[in-house]
Amino acid sequence: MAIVTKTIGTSSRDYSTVAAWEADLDSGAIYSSADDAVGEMYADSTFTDSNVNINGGATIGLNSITLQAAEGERHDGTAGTGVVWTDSGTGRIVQYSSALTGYIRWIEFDSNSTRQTQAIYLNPSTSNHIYFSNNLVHDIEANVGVSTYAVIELLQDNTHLSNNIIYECENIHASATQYTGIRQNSSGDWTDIWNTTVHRIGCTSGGATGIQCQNGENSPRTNCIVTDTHGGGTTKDYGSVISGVTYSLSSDSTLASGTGNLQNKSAANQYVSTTGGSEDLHLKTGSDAIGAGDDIGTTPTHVNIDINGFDRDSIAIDWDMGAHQFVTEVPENYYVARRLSVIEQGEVVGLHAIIEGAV
Amino acid sequence: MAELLLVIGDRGERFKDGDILCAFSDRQINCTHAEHIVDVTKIGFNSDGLRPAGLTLDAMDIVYQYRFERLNAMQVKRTETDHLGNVIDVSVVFPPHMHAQEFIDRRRRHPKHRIFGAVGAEIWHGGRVNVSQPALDEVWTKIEHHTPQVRSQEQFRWWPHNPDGQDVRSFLPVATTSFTDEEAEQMVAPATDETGEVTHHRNRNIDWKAEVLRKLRGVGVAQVIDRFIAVDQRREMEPQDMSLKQFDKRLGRMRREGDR
Repeated sequence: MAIVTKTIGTSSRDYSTVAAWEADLDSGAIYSSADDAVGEMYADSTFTDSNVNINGGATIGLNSITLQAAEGERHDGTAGTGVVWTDSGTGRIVQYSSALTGYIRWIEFDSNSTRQTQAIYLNPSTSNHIYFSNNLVHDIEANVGVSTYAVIELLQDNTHLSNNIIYECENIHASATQYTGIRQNSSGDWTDIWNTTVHRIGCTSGGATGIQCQNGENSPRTNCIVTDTHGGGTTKDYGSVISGVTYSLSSDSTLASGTGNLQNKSAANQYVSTTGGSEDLHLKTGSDAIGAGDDIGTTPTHVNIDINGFDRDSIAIDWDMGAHQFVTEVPENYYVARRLSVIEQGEVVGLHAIIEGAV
Repeated sequence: MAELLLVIGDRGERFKDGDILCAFSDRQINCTHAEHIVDVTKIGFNSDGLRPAGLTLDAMDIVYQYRFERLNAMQVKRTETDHLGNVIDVSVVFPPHMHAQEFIDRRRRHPKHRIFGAVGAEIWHGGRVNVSQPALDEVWTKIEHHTPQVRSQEQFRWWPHNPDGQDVRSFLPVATTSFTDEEAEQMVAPATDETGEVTHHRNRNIDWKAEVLRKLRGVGVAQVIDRFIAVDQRREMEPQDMSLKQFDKRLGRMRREGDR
C-alpha cells in the first residue's frame, strides 16, 4: 500500500493530459492493490481535456483517487492564478463515477464554450465518497433547454462539497426554464455542501437557483453564501427544500427561516470585488458573513480548509460563512476556555476549567 | 498537423485497444506552445515587484477580454477589447464593486501573480480568454517580434509529450492530418445509446496494428504494448489520414465521408 503520485502537465511531466493519467489508473505497471493514486496537475499550460470520466482503479484495487493542483500551482481564490482547466467542448468537463473514495481539489474550472450538459458531474458509485473541495468554477455557459441541468450536479449519496467558489454561470437557451448552480439530485442523500460561495447563477429566459436540494434531511448545507441569482423567471438563491440550510447567507429572501441564516444581504457588501472579469469573492471588512458561521470541526474531510488553504480548526476562532475565512487570528480579547481532564493512576477523576486570554 | 493518443491494450470495459484517448488539434498544439513561451514565470519582476512590460503583457492584452488599469486609490479602468485591440467598451469601477488595493494586495502575495505596471498604476487582465486561431496568430506575431522563435519551427508542430513520460509508454502517439477542435471533441466523445446513456468511454477506435504499426520503423507489437518502453515516432511517420480509418462504435462500422 503506497501513495503513488504522478504529475500531469505539458512540461516534462508524467502525463500531458488528465485523460491519460485517468486511463492508466488500472495499470498494474504503475499501481498495486490498496495504493492511493494521486494526480498532481501543473500550470504549465491550460488543461483542455473534455468529457473526462474518473472511474478507474477498481480493477487493480486502488484505495482512493485524488486529482488536484500540485502545491505551488494552486489558485489564490481568484481566476487565472493556478492550474486552469478550460474545456472547449460541449459535454461535461469532468465526471466522477468511481467506486473508490475520491478527491478533486484546488482546480480552477473555466469554459470557452457553450455546453449541452452539466460542467461537473459527481456520481460516485456504491458507498464510497467523493470530496470536491477548494475549487473555483466560473464562467460556465450552458445552452440547453432541459430544466434539470446544473453547473455542478450531485447525483448520489456521500458527495461532499466544501470551500468552493462558483460564480458567473448562465444558461442562455431561449427555451430554458431553469438553471442551477449546485443541484442535489432527488436520489441523493448525505450530500452535503459546506462553506461554499455561489454568486451570479443565471438563466437568460427562465428561472435560476443558486443551491438546490431535493432532500433536506441528512443533506446539510451550512456556512454557505449565495448571492445575486438572476434570470428571466423566478430566481432563488436557495431552492426546493430549505430545511437543512443553516448559518448561511442569501441576497434574497429565500432564507427566511433556519438556524443562523441571514437573508437580504447585498453582494457588494460581502466581497472584495464583484466586477465582471475581476471577481474576487473573498470576504471584505464589514461583511455580514464574518463570524456568522458554525464551527464544523474537521468532518467531512477538508471542510476546515478554506479557499486560501487556511485551517479554520487550527486555532479557536469563529467560523465565517463562505469559502474564505476572513478572520485568521485569535483576537486580542478572545477568551479561550479549556477543560482539562485530571487523570490519576490512569483514571479520569475530574475536570478543571481554565480561562486564558487578555482581560 | 494534428495528433492522436491511442489506448494500447484493453482496460477492462473502460477502454479498448485502439480507442482514441486524446485528440490534439492543430490549434491546440499551437496554443500550448505559445502558452509556454509567454508564461509569466519566465519574465521575473520589476523593481516594484510587479511583472515588466513586454511579450507576456502584449499576449495577455490580445487573448483576454478585459484589461484593468488602476487609476488611483479607488478607481480602476476596465477596457474590453477584441483580439486585434479594438476597444469594445470602457468603464470605471470603484467601491463597493471593487476594492482595488485589497484586490491587488492579495494577488501580489502569490508567487506566480500576473500584475503588471507600477505601484498605484497596476495592470491586470480578466474575463473570457480568446484562444481562437486568429487570436493565436496575433500572439505568435508578438512572439516573433520579441524573440527569435518562429511559429513554423519544427519544435512547435508537435504536442509536447515528455519523451521520458508515461504518455508515450502506456499509449501510442500518432501524427495525423489536420483536424479542428470540433472534430477533436467528437473523436474523444463517449459512445452513447439512443437514450443518451454512455456505452463506451470512447466512441472512436483505430486498428493501430493494421494502420499505424507498418508506419513505425524498427518497432513491433511487443514494444508498443510494453508499458516500460517509450514509442514515439510522430516525427518520422507518415501522418495518419483521419478521414478514413476510424471505427465508430455508435454506428457499428468504419466511418465514411459524410458521417456526422
